[in-house]
Amino acid sequence: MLRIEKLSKIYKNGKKAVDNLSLEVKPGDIFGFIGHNGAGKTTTLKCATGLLDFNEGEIFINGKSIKTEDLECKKTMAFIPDNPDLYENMTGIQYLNFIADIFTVSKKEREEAIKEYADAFEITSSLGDIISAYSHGMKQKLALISAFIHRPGLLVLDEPFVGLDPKASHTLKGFLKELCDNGGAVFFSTHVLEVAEKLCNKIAIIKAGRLIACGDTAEVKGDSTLEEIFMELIDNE
Amino acid sequence: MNRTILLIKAQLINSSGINKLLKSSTKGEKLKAGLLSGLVIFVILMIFVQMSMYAWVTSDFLTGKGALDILIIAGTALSMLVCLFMSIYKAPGYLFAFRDFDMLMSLPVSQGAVLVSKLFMIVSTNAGLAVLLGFPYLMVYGIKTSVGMAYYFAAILLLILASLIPVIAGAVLSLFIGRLSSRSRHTNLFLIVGTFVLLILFMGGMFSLNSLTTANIENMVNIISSLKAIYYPFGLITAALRMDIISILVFAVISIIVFIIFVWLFARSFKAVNSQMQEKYKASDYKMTDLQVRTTAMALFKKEVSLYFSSYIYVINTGFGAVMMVLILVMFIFSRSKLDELTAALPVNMSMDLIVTMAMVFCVALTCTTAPSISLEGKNLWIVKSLPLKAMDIFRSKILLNLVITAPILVICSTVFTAVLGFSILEYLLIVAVGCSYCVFIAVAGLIINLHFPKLEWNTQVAAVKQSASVMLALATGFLSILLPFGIFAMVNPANPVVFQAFWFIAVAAADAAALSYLKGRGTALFKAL
Repeated sequence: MLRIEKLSKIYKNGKKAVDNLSLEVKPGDIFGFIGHNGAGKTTTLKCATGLLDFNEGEIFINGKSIKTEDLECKKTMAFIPDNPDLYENMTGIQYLNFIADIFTVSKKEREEAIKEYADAFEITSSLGDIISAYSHGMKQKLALISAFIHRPGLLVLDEPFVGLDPKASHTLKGFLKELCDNGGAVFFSTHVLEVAEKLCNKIAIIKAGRLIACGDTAEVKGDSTLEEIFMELIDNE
Repeated sequence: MNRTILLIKAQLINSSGINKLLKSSTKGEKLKAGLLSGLVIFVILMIFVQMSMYAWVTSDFLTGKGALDILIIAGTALSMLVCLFMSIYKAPGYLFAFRDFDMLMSLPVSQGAVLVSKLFMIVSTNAGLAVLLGFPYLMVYGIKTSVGMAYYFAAILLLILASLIPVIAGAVLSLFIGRLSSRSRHTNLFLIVGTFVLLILFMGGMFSLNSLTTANIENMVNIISSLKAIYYPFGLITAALRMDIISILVFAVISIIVFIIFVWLFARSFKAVNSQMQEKYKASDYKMTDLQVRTTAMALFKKEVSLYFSSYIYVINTGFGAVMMVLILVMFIFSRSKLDELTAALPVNMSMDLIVTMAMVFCVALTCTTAPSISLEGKNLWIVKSLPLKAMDIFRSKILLNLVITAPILVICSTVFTAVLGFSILEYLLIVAVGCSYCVFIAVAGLIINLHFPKLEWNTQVAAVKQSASVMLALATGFLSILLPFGIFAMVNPANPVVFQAFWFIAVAAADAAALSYLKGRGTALFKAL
């Protein structure tokens, strides 16, 4: 579903944010991407979703190159950044309808999807209010709903649990599992190692732009906890 | 170091972009920053020169009528009015619900220190503006009355002091507006209409100042006497600039004391006011209803329209050209003699249809909604970049918004002009053709300039709409694109203005095609690199 091959990204100041990184997210995967601050997680996610150009390597979504067929790739995926700044002067429902229009979601499908996800995240009554009046958590929920309403095959999320209350986190985990059960895939970055350990079937650890571990969660952590492995790898590599 | 000074220093570093200039890694970025600084200085100089020339022309007439004092009042009133507008613009970003409110309030500094540091930013820029706009009038007054050097220092000091009271008025008005906004969703619409009405009245006032006659100069003197009575500082400033030390001192003491009282009172309720201002209108009573389905192009266009009309600053700064088109039409229809006066005053002999075209395209050049449109995406840019959209789809929606604001008004005004002034069908078609091709040119050129000079990191929309290089460059491009045909006309002095107008249209249409082609190629690449 998502294949990253030998990705390298160098910023204008010469800093190599991602160095020769390769990984593959297959249908059904909930793939956790972990690393400390500035390790290159967000840069990788932004390259994978076509927000950033990159210097070397290739990224394929369902076999299509994000470089040459970015539109086709974007039609089948959704991305939510770590701090989703939305159109503050739109109402929640206007924003969701705008996203549905762009993805040409039919009237029936969008109404059903918005109802389903807004009810689940408990923000239906606030959809008529302007987004600037929303709390951080509500904006995060709205961004997540906008990602789900066009039923993407691949979800790319940067720190999706930040700002969510425990109930909303639980709801989100349910939706992520449901998406993967239906043949979709999720690739997300997180600092919450417990969540990654319990939720993800695959894990990748990045340090200074380079992948230092990647594979099935059980294989990567072995008999230790993910936190122990993470600390060991980060300190020793 | 004093904590207030520390806060001011931090704000200056943050808002001036000095670090970006000093720590730019590439030569290209440094060159770009240097060029931008040069452009800003050039624009400031041009404004100063233009204001001085305007004041000089007005002074010739006023000297003859023995009413030169009007210059002092006009200069001071203009600078105070601009300071008032700027304060209303800036207060929401600096004084109320500012982004670093939570961070600053968590620090061990007094509310007064935070307030003073925020006020410093408004007061210092206002003082600069007050001197830039008001000093040319006062300088011309000084030259005409042959006063000593002390007068000029006093003039600068008085203009700076005079800018303090508009800050208070602007902050209070802004607070009132903010309170309204927190209660209703439609406040913006009332504000936009209200501001346009005020601006039209102001333009009307400036227009009557332009057309001073012996008959109304006496009337003007009476109005100014009433003004001095209503707004006491006007009288004081006039007296002070005759180097009356007592008046200078009284004016300084009044301005400073009123300002200190305002700071003292505001500091008492600073936190409470800001906490209230952070509350937004929330109904929380939405129930799912039928949703409207649109095409991608319509959805993008609707997004542009909705973002445009939700931003007071955006509309006021880019929509006034369209309003001016109607104003010019009304002015020429109700005062035909003005049109004849204007025709006679022009350095070249131009036909009426050409003058109308020039006036219309001048207004179109003032209505460039695209120049700040990429910058205004700001932190929301990730949304359109992550959606399955071609860059040209996004560009088209931004261009279309500009066209919808300018083209229909242009066509209506041209039609009424034709009916009233009796232009031929060919002349009418050429006015519309040149006007519409300018609408496209201004919109596309604005977008290209913004793609080259984006300002995506801003705290208030003022920075993207009023203080960005792209907006200044787009305005300069617009004016140049009008000056060029005007200059060619003056040099060639064609026998048949219709033929000139036809060539003009062909040239602008060719420029449109070239600009659109550039936007599709290089523009798309620039957008992807953002």
